[in-house]
Amino acid sequence: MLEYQVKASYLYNFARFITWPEDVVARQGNFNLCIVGAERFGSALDALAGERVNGQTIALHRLEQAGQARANRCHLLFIASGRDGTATGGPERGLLTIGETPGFLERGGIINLVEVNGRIRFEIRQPAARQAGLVVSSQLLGLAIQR
Amino acid sequence: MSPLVQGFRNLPLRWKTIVSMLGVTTISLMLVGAGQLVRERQGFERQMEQRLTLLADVIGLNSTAALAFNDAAAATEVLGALASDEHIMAGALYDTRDLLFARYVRSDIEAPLLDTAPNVGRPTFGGGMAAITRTVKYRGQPVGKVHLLADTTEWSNTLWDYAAVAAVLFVVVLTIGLFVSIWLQRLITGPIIDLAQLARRIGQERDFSRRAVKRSDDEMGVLVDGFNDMLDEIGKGRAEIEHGRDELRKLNEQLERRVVERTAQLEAANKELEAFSYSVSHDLRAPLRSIDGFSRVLLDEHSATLNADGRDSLERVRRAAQRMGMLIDDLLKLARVTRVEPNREEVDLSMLGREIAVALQNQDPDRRAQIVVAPGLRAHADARLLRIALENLLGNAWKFTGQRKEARIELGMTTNSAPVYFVRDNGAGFDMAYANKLFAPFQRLHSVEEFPGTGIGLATVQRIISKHGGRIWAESAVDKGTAFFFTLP
Repeated sequence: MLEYQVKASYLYNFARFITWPEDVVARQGNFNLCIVGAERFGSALDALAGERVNGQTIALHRLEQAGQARANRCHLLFIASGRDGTATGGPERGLLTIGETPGFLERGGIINLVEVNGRIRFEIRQPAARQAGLVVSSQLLGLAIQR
Repeated sequence: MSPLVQGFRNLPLRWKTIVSMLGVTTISLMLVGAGQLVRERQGFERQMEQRLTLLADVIGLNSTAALAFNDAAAATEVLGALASDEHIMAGALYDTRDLLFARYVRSDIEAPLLDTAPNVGRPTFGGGMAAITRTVKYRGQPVGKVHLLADTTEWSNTLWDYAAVAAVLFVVVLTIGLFVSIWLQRLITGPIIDLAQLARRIGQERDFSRRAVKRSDDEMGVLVDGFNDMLDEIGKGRAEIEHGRDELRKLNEQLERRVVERTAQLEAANKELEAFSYSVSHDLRAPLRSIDGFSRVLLDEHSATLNADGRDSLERVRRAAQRMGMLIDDLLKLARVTRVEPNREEVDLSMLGREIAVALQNQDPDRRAQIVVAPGLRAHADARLLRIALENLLGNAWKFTGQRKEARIELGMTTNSAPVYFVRDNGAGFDMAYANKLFAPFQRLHSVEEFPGTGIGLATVQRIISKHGGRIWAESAVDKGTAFFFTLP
């Protein structure tokens, strides 16, 4: 459970340390945070709903599968392990994809959460982020596991 | 007044000047030095504050992601950059719950870092250290706190160096100031001290011919001129006083000589006069006795050959001769009183008074008069002379109450520091306007027809009282009676 509390706070912090393209931000009122496999977080996600990030209010969307992201106009899509299937494909403009499955980045994901020595860390595929029009803070890059 | 002020007040002028100059110099130097130190310190603190704030903000900015993602290793790495600044002793990052998150401590020291974040604010200085704590924010939201600890001992040393230099400078300036003020003091107080010494010397030696030397045309010059003028005046005044004193002495001597001469002349004249009047009076008695005696023989043996007119004339001759005899007796008495020196003894005045009262009553048995003599009156005086005086005073009282139905005569004493004796009657009295004539011989305030008398009695009384060193005076009013007072010291 603690693990997903940390992960929830990570999702929030990724939202803060990554800059979305202007047009994507302007298009919608809310910051749509979409989760596939939300049941793993328990109540940890509840704290995020209503929180503000980059001047927008976070709206939580619990999805059944990754394919529903476009319909929900997601800014951030978290796909729990074992739920990514084949749906991710390539990077999509304005969508930050985060997974927790080994090989997630190879399958087109931008950030992957990894457990190292009991701590949760992350890897970033910078070219994919750039393709999605997302600007990752250099500090965030500094924290990422070097590949 | 404090002893310090009192001490300064009594200091010689020379030292007053030096102390004043040095005092002003010291105060100025201390103020300037202290001001400079404070300025330096403030400047340093401002500089330190800017530097620490900037550094803390840079560290904070670089640690935002590490704080957000709870990456202590990354945060420690960021803090490690502080090693490039040798003055930074330690740095720490605290998370949003104020718990120590990452730390950096310079390798050679042991810095006190708290486990919980100190209060955020401006830097604090103390113990050779400066400390600052600032909030780390990411896009306006706090993600933690950064705390820096800087070494200020180097700066304190600089300040101490500065103070040491200031102290050395202080001593140098004061030393120079001492010499300058000694030199200046000579210029200013020299003339005053000279003048004071001159004044003291003149006061001791009383030599008013000395003069002060004028050396400048300032207020001192005016003072010297004034001083010299004053000495001139004093010199003149003293000469005049000396001269006047000599004159006065001469005059006094002349006067005394003259007084001695005159006194001797007067005494001689007085003696001659007394001898003369005594012998005249004495010599006058014999012919007078013949006139009276032969008149009586004429009246006794030849009254038959005389008519009434002749007898009357002879009676008149006799009365006149008898009055003249009385006059001569009184004059002799006065003369005797004047010659005699009082032979003092204890005299019972009361007894004397009673004896005289009895004598008076016996002389005139038909008169009814009340004579009251106070008991226990005593005096240290010549009994014989005092008897004459009392006879005259009581006799006068007896005489001047002759026309009173209820005559009352009183002999008594009042004590007012010294005893004052009195003889009081309720007789005719007199006008006090003539009181000054009362004791002069042959002066009478009443006619012989009214009250018989020679006018010598009170003169005699006054001589007796003054022979005793006493004083006599009278209080009276017409028809209100008379009181004579006298003292016998």
